[in-house]
Amino acid sequence: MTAMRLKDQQIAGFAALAVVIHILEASVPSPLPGVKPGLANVVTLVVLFRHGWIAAAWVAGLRVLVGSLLLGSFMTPTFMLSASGAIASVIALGGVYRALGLQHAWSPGPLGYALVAAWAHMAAQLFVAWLLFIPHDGLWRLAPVLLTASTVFAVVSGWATWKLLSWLAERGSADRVDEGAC
Amino acid sequence: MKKVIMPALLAVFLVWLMFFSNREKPAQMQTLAMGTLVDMTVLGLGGQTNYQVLQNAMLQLRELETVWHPDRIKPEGQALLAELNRRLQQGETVTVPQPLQQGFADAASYTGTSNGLFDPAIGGLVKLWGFHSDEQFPSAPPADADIQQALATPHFDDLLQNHALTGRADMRVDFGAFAKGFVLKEVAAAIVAEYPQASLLLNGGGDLVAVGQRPSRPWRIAVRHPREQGRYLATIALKDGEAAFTSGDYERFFDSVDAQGQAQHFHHILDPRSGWPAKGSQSLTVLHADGGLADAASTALFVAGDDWPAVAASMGITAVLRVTADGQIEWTAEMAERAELTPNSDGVKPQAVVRALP
Amino acid sequence: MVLSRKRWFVRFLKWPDLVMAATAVMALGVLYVSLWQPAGQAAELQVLVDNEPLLSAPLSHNQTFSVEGTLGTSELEIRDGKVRFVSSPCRNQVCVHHGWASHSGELLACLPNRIALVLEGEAAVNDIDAVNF
Repeated sequence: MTAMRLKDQQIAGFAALAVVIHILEASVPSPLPGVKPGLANVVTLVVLFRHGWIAAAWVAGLRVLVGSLLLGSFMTPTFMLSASGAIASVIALGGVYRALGLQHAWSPGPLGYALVAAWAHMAAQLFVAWLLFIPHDGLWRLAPVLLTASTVFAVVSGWATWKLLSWLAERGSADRVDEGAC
Repeated sequence: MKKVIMPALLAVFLVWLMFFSNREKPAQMQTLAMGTLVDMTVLGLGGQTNYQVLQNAMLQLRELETVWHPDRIKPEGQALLAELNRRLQQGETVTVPQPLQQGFADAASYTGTSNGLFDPAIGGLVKLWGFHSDEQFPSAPPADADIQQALATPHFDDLLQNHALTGRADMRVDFGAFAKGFVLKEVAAAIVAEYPQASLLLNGGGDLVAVGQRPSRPWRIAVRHPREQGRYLATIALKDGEAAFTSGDYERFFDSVDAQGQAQHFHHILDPRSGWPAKGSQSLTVLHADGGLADAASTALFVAGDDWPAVAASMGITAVLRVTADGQIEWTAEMAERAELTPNSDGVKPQAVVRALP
Repeated sequence: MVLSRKRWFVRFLKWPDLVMAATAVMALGVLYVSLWQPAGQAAELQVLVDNEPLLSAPLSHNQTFSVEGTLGTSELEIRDGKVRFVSSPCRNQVCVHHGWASHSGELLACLPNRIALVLEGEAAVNDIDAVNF
């Protein structure tokens, strides 16, 4: 019970951190529409590595919901795009997580997971944008450019995730009371 | 083994994304035919087949062009209409050759329903004005006496009896307001008969026949503004199998002075009642599933002037967009639902009047 | 499934990461080849004489030039992404009357002189498949 409460609090805390990054990112103008560094994803990835997929899904979901409510974009096209991207990347992360895990020789590290998340995110956004907002074939011409940006940012956020995980590990943080609870 | 599944699925997903997003490029071709530049687009069959279908369509178009040309007798090919005109002018009674019969029957019925406003029998009048030929294009209107004489011909639906016509020295059957629509319809039908899944857009000098649609949306067309160059009057999404035909006073014309010495704009759409260019409209657009009817009706309704709703009803036309001589936009209820008027340069949408069909 | 304490330190790059990164880069390469056309690519003018392609010219470059048709010389002008017949030796002058054409899907021709102009590329600009006139 204590463990559960602590975990809930942690999820809320991580989600809050992700929301802050999400909003900060939203306030920075982007050179290309649809291109954002996606640093809020770093939080999702850190939670995935430390607390598993379910916790990560919670953090990502809360981030999109709370973030859009705070930004006033709930149920707008922006929200649809960001929600579809988040859902797709969480599902993709879940698939890779179940299949390859974290600690086997064949498990990808932060970079691999970041790539999976970023591509799924962008692919879903493009698809939803094409389906709902810009049903024009010209949109697909942008796909390579957008996915290139995704890939570059995935490397950055993968690296950041790795740095953060190492830093948290060195601190030997005491938040792992629920070890083995999954 | 399970460890292989997810990466494999991921790879499949990426490949799917690749193919899914790699939309087929449509095949497109242009050719000078039917007295205009014809542009044909085919898609939905795969690149090679699209191209093959276009090639065949091009050959068929050239063939039909020869068949329906009113005057030019080519050594190669069957110049059926030109041959028929030649025999009519020798006073013979001629049975319409089989390949022309359907078109003749359609045109005769449109002459009837349009109350003579569309009339292929006024070919003599067209020739008198000189609009029939690029080489003899007019620079001044003919004498009124000659016009009245050219008008003294029976309507086409009275001339055609049991697939036969009786000739006269000055007779000339001209399908200028019908053949393009009829031929484009035939070309489209031939493609669809062989490839039901094909999508195509046939553009005969600005007159359009659409089949199917683009992968993600219908064929979308713009109607040109009759007075402001480079501007659109409206945009319309065409339905599967629909034709869009516009008659306008702004393309084939010459400027000269009339009998009173007034400077005048003489365009090529002649009013069979007066023998002079039709007054009252700048342009008139018709949508209909039958290209031949759309072609004939756009001419007949243009000629009808302000009375066009009655003619539209009698010809079975429900989608009409018209610009009157003083620039007022008129349309039918169906057209109002389907066409989107293009805003003026200051962003204001022009006003349009809905005319009810009787 | 969560990492145990002794394997707490994660390596940044493991071979699955490299495989994934390589896959991503390869997929990008394929996507570029199959999909991408540089944004803002100028539309092109194709000139056909007697149904044979004669030349093509970018609509981004303002110029006037002559084309030899079967009847004589037609003068063409390209300005600000538009093209028109300045003069043509035909009697009916339909081509000159047509004025400027600027949208892909628009057709412009001088029939007597057997010259056809076709505007290609960048359908995204106006989203129109053909112009009805």
